[in-house]
Amino acid sequence: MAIETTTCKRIELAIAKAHLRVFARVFETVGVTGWTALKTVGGAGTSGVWQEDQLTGAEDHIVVIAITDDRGADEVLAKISKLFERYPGIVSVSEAQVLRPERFAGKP
Amino acid sequence: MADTLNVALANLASPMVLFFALGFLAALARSELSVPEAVGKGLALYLMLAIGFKGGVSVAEAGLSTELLATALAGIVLGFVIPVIAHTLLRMTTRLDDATRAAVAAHYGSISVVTFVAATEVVTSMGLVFDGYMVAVMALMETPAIIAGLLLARGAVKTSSPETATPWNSLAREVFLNGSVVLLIGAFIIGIATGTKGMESIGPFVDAPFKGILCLFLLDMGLLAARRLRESTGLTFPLAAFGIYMPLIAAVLGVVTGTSLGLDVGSVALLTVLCASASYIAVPAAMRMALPEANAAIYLTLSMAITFPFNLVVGIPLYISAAQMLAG
Repeated sequence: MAIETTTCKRIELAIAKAHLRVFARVFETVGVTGWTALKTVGGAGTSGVWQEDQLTGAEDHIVVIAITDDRGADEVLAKISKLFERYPGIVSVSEAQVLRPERFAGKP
Repeated sequence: MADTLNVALANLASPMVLFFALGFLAALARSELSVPEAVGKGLALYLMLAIGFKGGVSVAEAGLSTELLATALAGIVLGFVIPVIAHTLLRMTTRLDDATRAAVAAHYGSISVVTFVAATEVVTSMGLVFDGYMVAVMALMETPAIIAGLLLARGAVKTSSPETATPWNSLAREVFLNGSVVLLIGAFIIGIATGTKGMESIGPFVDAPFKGILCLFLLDMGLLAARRLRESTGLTFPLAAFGIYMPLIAAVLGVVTGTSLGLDVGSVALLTVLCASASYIAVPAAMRMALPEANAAIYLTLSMAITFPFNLVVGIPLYISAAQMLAG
């Protein structure tokens, strides 16, 4: 028996850990009530190679994942594109199949 | 001159500098040696607790003085003045963008706790005395430079909407309640409150293992500094030179101020070290939040991989000798 799933948008952000509160505020404003932050160990970007900053925490990066409906994703992207005028980071959006879609509906 | 050389040689042969060098060379050689993150943070907490508590006990024994207030006030003023000098020099000699320039300037106006702790060890080993309240001066000098850096960056901050505005509540918490300030001031107050009795009860913890733990922490610092240097991409010659000459300029301000205040040689040396050192714990975290457009790799590499090793190996003996010459 095929399990019925619903297509939602999966938003993935790679940002500085210090800026989590700023980006989380966007989710809150749009009504995306669920997100998860993941630790990272290193990578490379426009400022060169970086790795987990063990002493200061200033260069720590995190990946934030949120799943929402189309409306929520559009609003999040619009607000985040403004944040990127000041804050470094990248965002990607992909489709995700979810169970219990009511859990991912943005609250207007 | 011979005295300065002797101090420098003794410093070079000290376990502190040698462990730092071991970490530095190991990381350059791409050794797998590493200090676990939780251990490194634990060592930093221990050092701040011990130095804060010992400073407080020392003040409890000597009593509060007007000298303390004058030195604290001077430290705060220097915390504002040094970033302005650093900012001007960076504008004249480098092509850094406005935000990064202000962030770097803030780092040089603030202080490095570990450089201070290392300097207290050298000062003590030379038989010099210093006032316990220098710990409080150190804690007070951490934050003015952050405010100065933000003022210097006013023109660089482009906020087109409320979403991009600096989260001032979080920033204020980071500036005034960051872990190192809370622990240093807290341990200092506990030291004053408990005095000699407090020292009798936890003396074996804050005194005996201090040097060994400092060596282990400096080993970690050596590893982190060399890895940062190895991976740095935006470090130009004028910037690297700034990391060397800026501490010397700030040291001149420190030694002249300390001597003018009539402090003893050890305290003048430590005030000089505070002025010459650059933050790499409290200020990077605050700048990351307040000036997200600034390049963190630049200010971290400068303060941690250029200025810290310079101060540890060359600066500290130089500043102590200058203090001996002027205030001795």
